[in-house]
Amino acid sequence: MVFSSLIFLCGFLPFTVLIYRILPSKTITIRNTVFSARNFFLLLMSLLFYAWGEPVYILLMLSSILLNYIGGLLVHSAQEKKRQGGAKAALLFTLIVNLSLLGFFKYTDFFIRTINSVSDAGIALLKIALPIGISFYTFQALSYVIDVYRGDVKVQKNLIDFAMYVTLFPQLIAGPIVRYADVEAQLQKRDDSMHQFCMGLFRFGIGLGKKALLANQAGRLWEAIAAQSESISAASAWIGAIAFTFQIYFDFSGYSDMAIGLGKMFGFTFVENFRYPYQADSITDFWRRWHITLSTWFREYVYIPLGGNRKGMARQIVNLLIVWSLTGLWHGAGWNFLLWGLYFFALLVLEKTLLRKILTKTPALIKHGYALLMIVFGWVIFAAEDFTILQQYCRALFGANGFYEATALYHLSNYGILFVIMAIASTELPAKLARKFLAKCSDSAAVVLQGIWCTALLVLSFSAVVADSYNPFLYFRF
Amino acid sequence: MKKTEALFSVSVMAALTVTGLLILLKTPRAYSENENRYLAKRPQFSWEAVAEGDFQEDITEYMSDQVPLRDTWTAMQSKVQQWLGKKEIAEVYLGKDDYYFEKITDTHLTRSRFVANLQAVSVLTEQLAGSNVYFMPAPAAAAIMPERLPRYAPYYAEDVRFEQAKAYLAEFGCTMIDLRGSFTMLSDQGEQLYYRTDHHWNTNGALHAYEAFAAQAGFSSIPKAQWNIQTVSETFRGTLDSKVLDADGPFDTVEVLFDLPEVTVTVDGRPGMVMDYAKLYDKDQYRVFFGGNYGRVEITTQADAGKSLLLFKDSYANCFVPFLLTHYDKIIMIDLRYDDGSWTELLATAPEDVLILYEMSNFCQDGNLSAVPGLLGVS
Repeated sequence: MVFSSLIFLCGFLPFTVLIYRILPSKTITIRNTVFSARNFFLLLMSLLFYAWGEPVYILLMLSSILLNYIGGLLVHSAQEKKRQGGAKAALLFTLIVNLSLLGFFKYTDFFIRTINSVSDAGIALLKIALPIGISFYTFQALSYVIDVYRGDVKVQKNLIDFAMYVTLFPQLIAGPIVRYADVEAQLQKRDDSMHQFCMGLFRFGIGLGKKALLANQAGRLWEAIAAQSESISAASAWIGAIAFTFQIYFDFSGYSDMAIGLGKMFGFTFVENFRYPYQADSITDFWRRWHITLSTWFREYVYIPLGGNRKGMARQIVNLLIVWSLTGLWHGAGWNFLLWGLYFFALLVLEKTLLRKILTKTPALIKHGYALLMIVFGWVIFAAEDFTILQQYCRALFGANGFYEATALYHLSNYGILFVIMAIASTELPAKLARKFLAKCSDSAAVVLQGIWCTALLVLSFSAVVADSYNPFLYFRF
Repeated sequence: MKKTEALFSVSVMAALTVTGLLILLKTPRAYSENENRYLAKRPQFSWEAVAEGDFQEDITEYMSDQVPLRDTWTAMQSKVQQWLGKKEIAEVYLGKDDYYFEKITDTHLTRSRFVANLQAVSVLTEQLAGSNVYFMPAPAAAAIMPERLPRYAPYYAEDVRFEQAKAYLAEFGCTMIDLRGSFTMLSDQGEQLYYRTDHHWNTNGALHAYEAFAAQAGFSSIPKAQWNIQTVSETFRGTLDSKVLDADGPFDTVEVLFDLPEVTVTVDGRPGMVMDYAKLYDKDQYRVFFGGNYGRVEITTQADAGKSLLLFKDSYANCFVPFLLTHYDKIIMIDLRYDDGSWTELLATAPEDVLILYEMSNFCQDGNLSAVPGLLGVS
């Protein structure tokens, strides 16, 4: 189920909110374990939410939940008995099974295709449909088991609460990747106030608007241009690349906004996933602002355990290479995603070495220009799913089919206003102005103003949703 | 503040709930006139369908099809797009002087299909060696009035297709009637040849096509002044309007020929009529001509002209054929999109004239013509 669908907006969401609110917030304690009716209901609804699109893969998700739940218990009980070796074995076992499942369902066909292309083995593809959200929920569950092992979080004995954490529908299929440590306390005690709910609704409205009003529009332009990549001029190719740059930001950050907003509506506070990434003044800065929860995950569970930057420059570069290859492949089972990861690896290493001194002396405007250029080009690698298209598109970007044609001017006249709106909307300017203005208003006036804005966004987004029934989320692929 | 927050939250949730309940409980709408299609029916529940995911897909489709005020919501989005300075909506260009144009670019057309369709025309010409075969592609509105397209808007190279068709068919003895020159001239002189909100030419456009056809086919056309042309509707909003859905958009005028001669019409074996005025009460008022498209329309006239016409056509022919009723004893219109293939027997009747009339981009994209050589046993 996607958030920008009528079944979610007019069915699932209001129903879940209503029943959730009716259910008592009081918990019952049986044998030292606290049970909450609201948590149980959220679990049921999250399973329904998942099963809506993936009825069969629900079994996979349930197995993953059980695996990690038991993994956590085993690690914990081994540690209680002071058997460090046993704890390590339990952790390793859980890790291997988790990653094997992810590897099998996400990468098998990619692997077979690669073998076929370098040999004449001609192995038949398994044609496995990617289970929605598997990359997200596997990473979430892993964060739990690893943190139990490290002693950073307490073991969760309540299967319902644990399952609810893994399946929680707001962030189930496209993040943010909520680490267990960040919501541990919230599983039992949340802020279910009307204020929190209302703030969540505002946030949801903004996210839906980003997705339905901006991302889908930009996506249409990108698709139109990408379909003609063999003949377009450099101007059109750059307009297309910029359109995709906007599309992926508003799609993904819109989704994160909706997830964070929905989380609030059920009392949760999730960590932020984006911090105006296109305002970055270097690639290093960009990755502190883009998909923050993924970078954090890789830093916490891969980069730092590998030694991070504490074992000398050579080792740091190797560590970065590992992290960025994995980050690339996490985004999709394809060579272009690996290339995309390596592209950022190269840029990050450059920024840590050769460019380090130069960048500190460079005027801000040029730094922003450099970062944006690299980001936009990065998205071209990301978006082109095979190397032939990538080559074709890159040639177009550098003027192989001429530098401009009338169609490029048409795209600009057709999308110019939208581009300006999207450029402004991807900076912190609107939020800053709104905060400044709202601070001057009384509390009630501030709520009314935000309410009007949110209603406008919801109504316009609703009309956009009705107007195009075909509406898949880009981030479903992961 | 708390009260305001509660009021807002409850109102939004209530509005969503009410919309959801309305979708599920109201009697479903069967047909959407604007989209010219049947809407999704209430899906049947079965565990099997749920496991396959079909039920979920059907529900999703049902909800978007049956949402209350669906067309109003869509029209609202169309307004938003226009505020954002968009020059096209749902593949329709918003042209100057309130003209809408179908967006057709070279990416829509494949060369192989165009060539296959030209081959079909050449095969027909060869098989009909005893008849005069004419190919008259209708130029598209956008190609006749490019100055009314939004600035820089891409449009497919219609001229190239015309020239290629002309060069190809010349070898086979098929006469191609090229309307581009006269249409461009007339349009520049201020004549309206196409509807604003519909992709078809109007009765005036058809009249000039008729004059061009008569000149080639060797009969003298009846001059414009002698036709009794009357306006029968000023509220026509055609197929392009259905895509744009702008409540403030333009209306078209429908003109038709009055005082047509008495003729007998059968459509797909049933009795039919040349003018079906009841269709003026429908959304698609262009169907006033013959009531729409059929596989085969047979017209028997009292013209006593001593010749008959076989017409392979798309919907552009519907408002064109009424001009021919006094020039042929028998006119048979074949629309390959709806025909069952039985038209091949007509070739043996050796009609004096054969006309292939398609709008050019329709001709380029048509998926039925390419079956013609096979049906005639020519590979």
